[in-house]
Amino acid sequence: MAEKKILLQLQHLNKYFGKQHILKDVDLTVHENEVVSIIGPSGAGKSTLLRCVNYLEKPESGSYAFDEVTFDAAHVKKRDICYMRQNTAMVFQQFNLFPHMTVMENLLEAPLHVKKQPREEIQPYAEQLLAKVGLADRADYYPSQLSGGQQQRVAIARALCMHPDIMLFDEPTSALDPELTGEVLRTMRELAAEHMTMVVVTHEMAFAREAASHVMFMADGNIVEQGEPKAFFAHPQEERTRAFLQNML
Amino acid sequence: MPKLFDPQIVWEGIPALLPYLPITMEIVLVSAFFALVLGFAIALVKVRRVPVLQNLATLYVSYMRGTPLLVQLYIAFYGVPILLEYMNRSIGTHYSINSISGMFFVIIAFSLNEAAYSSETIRAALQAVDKGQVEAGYSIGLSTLQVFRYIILPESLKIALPSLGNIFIGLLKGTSLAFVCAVVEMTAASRLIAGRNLRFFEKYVSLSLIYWALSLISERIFAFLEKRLRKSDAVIRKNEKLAQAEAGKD
Ligand SMILES: Nc1ncnc2c1ncn2[C@@H]1O[C@H](COP(=O)(O)OP(=O)(O)OP(=O)(O)O)[C@@H](O)[C@H]1O
Ligand SMILES: [Mg+2]
Repeated sequence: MAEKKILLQLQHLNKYFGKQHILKDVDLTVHENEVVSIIGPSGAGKSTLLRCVNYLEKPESGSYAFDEVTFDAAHVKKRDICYMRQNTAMVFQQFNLFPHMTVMENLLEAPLHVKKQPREEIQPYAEQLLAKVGLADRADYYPSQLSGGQQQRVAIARALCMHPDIMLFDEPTSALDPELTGEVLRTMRELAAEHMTMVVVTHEMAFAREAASHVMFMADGNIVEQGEPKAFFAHPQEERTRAFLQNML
Repeated sequence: MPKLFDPQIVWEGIPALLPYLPITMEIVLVSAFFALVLGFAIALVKVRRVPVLQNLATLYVSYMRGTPLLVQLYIAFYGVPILLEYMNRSIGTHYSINSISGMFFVIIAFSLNEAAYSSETIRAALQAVDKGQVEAGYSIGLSTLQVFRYIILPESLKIALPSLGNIFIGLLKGTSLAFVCAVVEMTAASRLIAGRNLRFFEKYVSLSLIYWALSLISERIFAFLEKRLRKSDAVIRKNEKLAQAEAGKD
């Protein structure tokens, strides 16, 4: 099998909150069409790592390579940040839909104002995306009229509407009632099956095991262990990984 | 012997005051405009924690809210000429102090006073917008300005509008103090007109009715604006009612 193309590569990432060293020389490599799952205990720095990818957090040092663009975190320019944000899309734990906009307006916000596309050009695509997440009939609803699972699926559609090269998910099902996590996970599995490149921080071990092509275990700001899911879950090499997995089961 | 109280005079007294209504409204609208602009600037300084300016803003708001409006009007009336005279002497400008109309002082005083009150309302509203939505805005590629325009502004306006409405009505009623700067608006006019026939009581009742009507109209306008802004909530209420009706049927 030919080696897959590397889409995103972060190297030697360091992030501090005040004096606290949160990310310690972390590397993250994402190949095209790959689903990377990041797991680990609370406070490990998983969210922080994900948020560094689209610059919601600003790392103090490290190098970025995304598609053809490379830059250094220490000398990051506005243009680099725009580039990262426009080509990645984030799905948040708390959905974070815009409450004063309808579902459709939520989807159109970025294409209209960031990419300056004409409405009639993108609306059909937005409708298509809503149908894909199973909410075609909810275009004119406001977020507060939807269930948590529906809101999260709208958030996924909103993210897709930007045509991102990579989708970032930060515990997308953690704020949901157990009976609602299924519908969101199903949508994510469909995306994975369509070869969407995704980085997913999750506590859903079943998802990491079955849908991911690569699993990373993080603790205390380090990547402790990573690998192909089957081997990773069957034969974890590190003591910390074993302890963590035991706790999760 | 004349009647103690003559409702007829109250009614007939209203039209005589209406010519002064535009002056009252000019004070209100012009001051409200400047107050909103300045109040917004102060709010931004506070939210963004701009060094030095932030402390000045706090001092300013505290002073404006901690002193009577009437006293502030006096200070504007006597202080602004002194300031201009000082400028004339020290940097050689040539402002003619005697040609400044009372309206100028009144609008300065009201703008500065209302700016202090509205800045607090605006600041609270800006800070009430959920941080997660702001991040969501950035994450889809909106610029700082776009996040402000499309997300923070509409949501905070919705939050601030009821309080801004109250401040506006307070300003409307406050204009009755403008006479201390020799501006003849409705209240000053009432006193002048009543002085001719000595029906002070009836005149002031007429006056109060005009203010009351203006307050009611303002309330209505703000309620309408709020409803427009709360379109999203209105839809929700409607749907909830429908849902309740459906549930009731079973
Ligand atoms: N804005 C912040 N200011 C200061 N410290 C922060 C901030 N955000 C996160 N931290 C700290 O950084 C560390 C890593 O946080 P992070 O949210 O990345 O962990 P996580 O692995 O996502 O945990 P969880 O599973 O609970 O979401 C924690 O110790 C947290 O307290
Ligand atoms: Mg987290």
